[in-house]
Amino acid sequence: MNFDNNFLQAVFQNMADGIVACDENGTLIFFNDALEKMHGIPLQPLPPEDWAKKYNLYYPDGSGLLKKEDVPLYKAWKGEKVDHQEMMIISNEGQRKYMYANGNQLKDSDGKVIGAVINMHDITDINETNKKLNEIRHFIEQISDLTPGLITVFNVTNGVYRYVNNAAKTILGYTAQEFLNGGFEFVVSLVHSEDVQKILEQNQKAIINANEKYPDYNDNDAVEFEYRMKHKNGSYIWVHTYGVVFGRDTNHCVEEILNITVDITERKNAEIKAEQSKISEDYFRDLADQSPFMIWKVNEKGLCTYVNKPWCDFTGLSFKDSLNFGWRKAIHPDDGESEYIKFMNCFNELKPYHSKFRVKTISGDYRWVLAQSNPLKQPDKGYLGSLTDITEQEDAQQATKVLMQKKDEFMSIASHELKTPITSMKAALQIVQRISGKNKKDSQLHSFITLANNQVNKLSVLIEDLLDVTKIQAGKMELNKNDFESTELIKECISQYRFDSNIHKIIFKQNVNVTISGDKERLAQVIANFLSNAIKYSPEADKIIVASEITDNSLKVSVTDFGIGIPENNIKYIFDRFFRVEKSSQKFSGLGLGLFISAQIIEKHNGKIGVNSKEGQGSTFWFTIPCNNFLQKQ
Amino acid sequence: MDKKILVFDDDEDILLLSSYLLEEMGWQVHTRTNCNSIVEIVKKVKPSVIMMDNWIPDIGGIAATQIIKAEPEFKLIPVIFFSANNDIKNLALQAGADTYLSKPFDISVFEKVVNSFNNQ
Repeated sequence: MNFDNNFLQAVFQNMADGIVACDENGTLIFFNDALEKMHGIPLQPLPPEDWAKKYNLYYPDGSGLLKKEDVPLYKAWKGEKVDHQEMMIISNEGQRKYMYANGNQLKDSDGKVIGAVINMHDITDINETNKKLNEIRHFIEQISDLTPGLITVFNVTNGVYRYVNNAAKTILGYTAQEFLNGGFEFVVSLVHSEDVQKILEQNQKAIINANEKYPDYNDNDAVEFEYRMKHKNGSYIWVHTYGVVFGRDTNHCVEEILNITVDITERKNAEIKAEQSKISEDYFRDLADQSPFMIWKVNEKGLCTYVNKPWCDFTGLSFKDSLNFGWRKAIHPDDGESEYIKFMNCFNELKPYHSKFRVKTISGDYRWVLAQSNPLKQPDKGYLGSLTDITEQEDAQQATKVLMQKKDEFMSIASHELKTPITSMKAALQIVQRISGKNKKDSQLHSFITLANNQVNKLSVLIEDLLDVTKIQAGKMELNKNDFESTELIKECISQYRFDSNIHKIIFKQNVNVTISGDKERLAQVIANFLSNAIKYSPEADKIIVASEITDNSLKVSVTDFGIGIPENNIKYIFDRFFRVEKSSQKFSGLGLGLFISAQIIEKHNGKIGVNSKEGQGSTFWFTIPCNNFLQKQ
Repeated sequence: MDKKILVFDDDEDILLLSSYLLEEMGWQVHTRTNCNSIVEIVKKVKPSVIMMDNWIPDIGGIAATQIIKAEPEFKLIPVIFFSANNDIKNLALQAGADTYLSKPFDISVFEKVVNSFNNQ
């Protein structure tokens, strides 16, 4: 079809795109109106090397003027097809415009090159839009990558991942690309073998449900899963996945799913620990309820967090009522305040707390309990304690105390009451003895009086021993200490016994004379006891040896007799209370208290007491007193 | 020289025995079974030596001895404190007595103790 030249002109001038043409020599010959408007500069018959500069033809990134070989019209003239070449032009007013250039070489019907033509299409607006789109895309990608969750979009029909954010690397150690390459199968392989079956089933069910319920299904409703996945480094992490329907196909079946997966390992481990802790706590409580003791727990703030069933049964307070400070209701009002202070003192120093106090029972009366508790270490802190009913022991103790007081009172009175008649008896008999001794005619009288006198003395000693033993048992024997010389003490004792026996001769082997710090009367009592035993148990012998010496930094006093001796198997019992050698019971009188009392006296002096004996040959009773300040004289 | 001795004891038998022994030793013996108005008694008798029992009505031997010793006129009179109590040494000290004699006693010990104040 041939067109009229004018018609064609009009067509070109009205086109929105810019048209530029050159002849076979490469000279610009045609600009349409649009092109002229784009450049703002009219057509000038310039050669190709000048086009870029004259008309401000730039590379699309604005990096510089187009080289001659890159100018679209030049390319077309040279025979190269120009197809959507992007470029930028700057108008003479300074406006930047982005263009697509399309065009070709022109040939006449004979195939001879007659020139080239380029169509310039303004894509500035499109570019702007694209730029904005890129910005938005970049923004969204930033959000996606900074989200601490793994975001994926995957296709349920072919298992292909359309999108994976970079959190894949942080959460599972694999790059997004590895996910995209691996697909659904790869991801499933990462799920823990114990969880995978469950997850796949749940997933299936969810999809079927979403399909069936359409259109009454809210695609925004998240389906949630918790399971373990294997990190690239080999360890397992706990994850929580939220899945929503992302896209449906033309049949409204779920086609794509958006998943967000977060690492919940820490939280999960804490849950498991808490569960275990609860199990062990439950176990503890079961055990505690079986205990015969009352058990309680106080936390690091000093508030009661637990009491066991025995406590509730004992006090009648419910578990709830006993918590925090509720338990104080059961403590005796007189004890409550002081015990609380005592407990807090231990609590603040993390020391064990032991105490006694009264607790009100369910029946309303008070009973004594013994509280024992220890501070707990990690992870619990606080205190764990027990209470034991010790009412019976307390009552017994109180009763014993009262009894002891009564006994002391009695002893005091008995002591006086027994000694008073003996005093008169003894003095009277001694007076009569003296008087009758003066007169030879009264010799028989004298001997009987002497006998009576001796018996009174024995009685006196027995009563003294009895009273001493009671005192020792009550822990009431006190020593009156002062300093005196050992020889003086021994000599005094010996001189007293010279009256008691005319058979025995008492020989004093004084090897030392030292100053002792002790109770002179009590030590005299010991020596007297030794002497009296020596006399008593050696009726056939005629001498007794008393000796003093220093051994091992102590003063040793010994009394040796040559009498019946002590059988070897009895020696270890000899200083026991009430012990008397069997054979002697009829022949030898006495309560058997003397040596026991002597042993107690020596013990109170921090000394030692003992005996060496051979049956049939005699015995040596000895004691030692340690020297603290010794002044050795000779 | 009249050696006067004043003996306080609530037990009449002991007073009897003590009197016998003391008279044998050449003392003029005055006895009392209680220590009421002690100052008056001492003033009246003017003894050179006093023997005081622990358990004597009404105020007891310790208090009575303390009263005597508090009187400037009598504080130089030696007091022999005697008692069946085991703690007699401390009681005598507490009373402010000059010496003590524990019951029951040997008559020879009794004599010895009293004789030690013979030259008063």
